[in-house]
Amino acid sequence: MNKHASVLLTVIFFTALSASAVSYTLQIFGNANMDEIIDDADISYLEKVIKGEADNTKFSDANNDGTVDEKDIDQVQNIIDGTEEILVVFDDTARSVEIPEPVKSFVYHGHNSYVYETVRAIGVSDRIIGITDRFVTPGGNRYSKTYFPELLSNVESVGELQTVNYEVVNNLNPDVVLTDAREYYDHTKTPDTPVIALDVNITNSKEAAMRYGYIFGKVSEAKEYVDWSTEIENMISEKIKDIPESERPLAYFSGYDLDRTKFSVPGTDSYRAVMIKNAGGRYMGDEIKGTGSQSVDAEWVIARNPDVIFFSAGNSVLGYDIYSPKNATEAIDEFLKRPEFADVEAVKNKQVYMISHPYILCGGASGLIGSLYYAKWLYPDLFKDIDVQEVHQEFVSKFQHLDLDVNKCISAYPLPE
Amino acid sequence: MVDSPRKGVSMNLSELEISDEEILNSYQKYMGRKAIFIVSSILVLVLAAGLAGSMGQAKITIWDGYAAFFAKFFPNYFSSSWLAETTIWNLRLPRIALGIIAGIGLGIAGCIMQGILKNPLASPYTLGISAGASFGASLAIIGGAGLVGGDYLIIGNAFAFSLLVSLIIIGFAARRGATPETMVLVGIAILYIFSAATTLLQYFGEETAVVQAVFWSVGSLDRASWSKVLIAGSVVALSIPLLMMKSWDMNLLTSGDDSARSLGVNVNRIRIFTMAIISLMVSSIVCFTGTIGFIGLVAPHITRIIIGTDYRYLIPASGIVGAILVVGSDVISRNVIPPIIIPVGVITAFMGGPLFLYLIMKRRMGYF
Repeated sequence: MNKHASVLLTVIFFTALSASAVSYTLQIFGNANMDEIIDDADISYLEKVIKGEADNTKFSDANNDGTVDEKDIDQVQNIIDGTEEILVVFDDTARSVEIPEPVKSFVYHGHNSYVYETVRAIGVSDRIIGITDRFVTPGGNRYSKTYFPELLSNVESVGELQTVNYEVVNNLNPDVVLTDAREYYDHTKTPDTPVIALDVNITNSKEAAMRYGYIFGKVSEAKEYVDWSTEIENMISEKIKDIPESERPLAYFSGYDLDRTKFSVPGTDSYRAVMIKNAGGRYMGDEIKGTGSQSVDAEWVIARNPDVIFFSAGNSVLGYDIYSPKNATEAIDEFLKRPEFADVEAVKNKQVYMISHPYILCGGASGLIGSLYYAKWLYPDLFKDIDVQEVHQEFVSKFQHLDLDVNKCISAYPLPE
Repeated sequence: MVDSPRKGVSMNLSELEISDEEILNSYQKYMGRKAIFIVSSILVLVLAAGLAGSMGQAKITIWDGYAAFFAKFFPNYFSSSWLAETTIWNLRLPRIALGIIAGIGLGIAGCIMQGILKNPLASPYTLGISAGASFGASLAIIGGAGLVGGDYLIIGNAFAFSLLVSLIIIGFAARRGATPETMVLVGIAILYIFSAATTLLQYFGEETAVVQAVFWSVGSLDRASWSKVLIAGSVVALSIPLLMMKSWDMNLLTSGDDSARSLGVNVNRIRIFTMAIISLMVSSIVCFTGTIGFIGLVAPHITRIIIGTDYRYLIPASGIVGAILVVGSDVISRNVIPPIIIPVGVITAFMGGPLFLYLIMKRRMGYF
């Protein structure tokens, strides 16, 4: 059986497996029964609420007018039909944001790539009219001619992430502003434009994708995207589920630092930690509480003797615009030669890997691809039937709609066998 | 005839006699120069504010901008578009207003601190008040801890800690035998302590929170809004008359503490009173803007070089020069590489530094 066929079979198997799982509540007013979708079941539930037979829920008041009545049933029906004039979304700042529909244009006040990759996955990249400077100016830490080519023509810079030029946003007059860095966007400066703070990360990516699906009227596309990522997620967890905790490799993760004298370890609740645990690794930073990172020295790492070391690296070493492994090879070789790490298991067994920081780390589906690389590195035998590059290519071609050959780019190094 | 100390030179005493009229004329000329400087500075400030209101990335003409401004007061005579109104009233005017308030407040604060502490390096920054504000903000951003919650967490913390620094300095000043040098040294020690505490917070903080805290500490007018303008403006407006009332005493202080005491000035009380007012004023500014470090140092020096050390004029003039520097820097910060907005604190240093050096070189040292 060739690799492609095995991936396909696995995908079919886990599609059925995932169909019954309910794992999140769609954060949109109208989702009266608090499940993953707005459908006829919400109308039935609302009818019961109105009759006093069911409890009012957080999202029962579909039109957000303060009362649950027949008008909310009409609003839910309109949402199901895709004809609603206003959609009320609950965002990361716990605000109920009223969005006039349909949304035909948006500005992305973006820190990471993950919100944009999600909206591109559901097919609305042609609606973006403005974005933070880091995506469109050469040298910006999200700039990529290969991965974000459409942003480099006809999409205006709205200034830096921390100092948004609100005059430009008002010039563009988008239907909505999306932000994943709410602390830097003052929505009172663009008072007539709804601002939705909705980040996409490894833990909320499915729900966020569905919410974006409703916002942009692309529910079926969002569902297809969510189903695809759920299948991969389930496939990974199915393969590693029987490995006892004690037998899982101890994995250390750090950003690749040029001076390489200090190491930064993300805490146990960080997205980096979640990715490694999802891939079946024991995470070495579990003793560090919270989501923040802590600087440690080489002794800290050596004393814990990790089985595998993962470094993340930026655009100059890895990424969709990097076609030569030269920088990654040099960095890893240099690390392997360091005498103080010579007795560390990961170094002895040459289990030191690098992964692209901006594009496949801790985000939505990107984070999932990253987890798959980790899993393949951690358990090469267990995942020998999975071609991670093929899954990565499917993500890029089918959901990012890019004519980009991932085999030619160096996103992770060295590639799993 | 008298012999001059210089050999071979003699002069008539009558040549040295100056009539009352000449003295009066000379004095009026001297005062006139100060008045002209203040009036000219106000005009420059109005021009700078007009320029700041006219320049930006919004696609509106200068006329659209002014029409939007006047439409608020004379709606029957001027009409304005949505974009022009939002740009002028929601974005540019609050920035300009906060810039003027911050410039005035920091300029005056620096002027008085340099005077009462007899130290040309004294400013809200060098005495640690801004470092206290930065620590308070970092505590709120990185640690999530603060004296007040909600939207005012960062602002409230910055205000409280900058005030705390001031109280410490005033506490030392109130001690028997405390000298201006003591207060400066205490301020510098506090600057280091709070800077170290902020670094420690940042060392353990989450990456994004650390970036936010560092960004907060760089002076910026991006957070300007009418409510902030109202709060900071009210405090500055109430503080200025109180400080002006002490301008005569400040003039006497320039001749030394002992001379001032002999003329009936309670030197210690003046120091404590002015420090308390300045602290409140600076705290109410930096909690909204972050650290705009250079204004408090450079605006008083520029003014002092030009009009001398009469505090009746030096205090308001330093404020106006401070406002010109901040508003002018903001014009540059928003328009030099659009659409990027460079933090105004960076521009004030770049702009004020060379100007300061030029004036020092031109007038040489010894003006202080």
